[in-house]
Amino acid sequence: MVNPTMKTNFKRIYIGVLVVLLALSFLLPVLSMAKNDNIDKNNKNSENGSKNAGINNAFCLRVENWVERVDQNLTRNQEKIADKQEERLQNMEEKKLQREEKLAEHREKWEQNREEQYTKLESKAQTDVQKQAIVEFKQAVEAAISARKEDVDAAISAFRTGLDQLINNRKTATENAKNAYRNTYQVAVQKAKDDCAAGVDANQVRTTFMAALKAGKDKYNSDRQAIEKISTKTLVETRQTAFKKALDDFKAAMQAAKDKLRAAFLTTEED
Amino acid sequence: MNEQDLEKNLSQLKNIRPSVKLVDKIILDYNKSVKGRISFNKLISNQIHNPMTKWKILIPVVAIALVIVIFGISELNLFDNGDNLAKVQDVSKEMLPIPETTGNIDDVVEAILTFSENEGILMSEEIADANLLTADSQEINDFGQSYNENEF
Repeated sequence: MVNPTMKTNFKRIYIGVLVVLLALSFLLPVLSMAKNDNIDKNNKNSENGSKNAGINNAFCLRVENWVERVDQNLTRNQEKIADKQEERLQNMEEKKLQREEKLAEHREKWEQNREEQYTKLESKAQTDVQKQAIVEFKQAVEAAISARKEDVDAAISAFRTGLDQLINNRKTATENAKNAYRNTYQVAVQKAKDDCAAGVDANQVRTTFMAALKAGKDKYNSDRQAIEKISTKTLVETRQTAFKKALDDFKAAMQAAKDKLRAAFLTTEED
Repeated sequence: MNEQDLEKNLSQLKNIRPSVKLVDKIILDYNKSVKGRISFNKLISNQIHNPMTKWKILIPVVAIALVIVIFGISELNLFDNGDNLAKVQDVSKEMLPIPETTGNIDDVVEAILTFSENEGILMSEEIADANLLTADSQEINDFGQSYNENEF
């Protein structure tokens, strides 16, 4: 039989061994990497054999790490734009469907109400002339409503098409701006790497690199400002004008129909 | 054994904590002797030996409830950040009242014109869709900040 004290001791030893193994598994790769880094640094320094080469090496290593981070930023920010654009499309589609539904519902109510109005109006007609005048009134109203519907639907359609076009224009302009920005960045990075490898003076490499990146950013900002200038102002104004004209035409048609009907009722009442 | 001796013995037992198995056994035997009653042996023994039990149950329950609440809030967009562009504003309050159906010519025409104006009000909200054009402005701006050339 195993003594309980011995059992406890075995447990402790076992845990201790595990802890040591775990610690080594973390430490060994770090130590190995540190050693390799030192070997690399020593080799490079000895190859260049100058202080300038050492500075270049430090700068180039920094660029390498920086590029890795910037690449991640570019990818992430690119995805954010794409997500937002997708969200915009979905929102527009949802809104469009909801509005179409509401509009259809409204027009149905309007039609029902008109039927009630016509019925009530017909109940007041006492002569054939009045009855005929009501028939003509109904025809005039329905024609005016139909014309108005066509005008309004055309204005809505033109607005939506125009907005889709502007969104596409903006998307294309954004894509171009992003590509130019990314391209300038990649060219600048490649040049810095090439200059580093060629042993060009570190300060010069750094200055050229920074200038190229700044130029890329300035260009992007300029492109971005141009993108923001893509405006919906004209589109909205056109839509408003079309809606106003449709309503004005409709009002005029309704006034004419009303006058004619009233005249028929007045004439028969006078007779 | 007289009453005083019994009290003395019981007072000595106060500080003795029986094992879970023993308590289970005592309660089980008791339950057997009183057939038909609900057995609370496990519950009682757990309460005696493990006062933290309720916390062990409560904490995960609260944590799960919190996760469900947070998930629900995020899914239902209960925190409106103004970016929920899919909502169509309710313009029903702006709608003009429809005149009653009287059969009077003026009222008939007025009702038809009011429906026409209301249609315009209903569709006026669509103008707000134009604002969607710039919905990605912040993201486009952020893309231009992907690097800082002055880090060197």
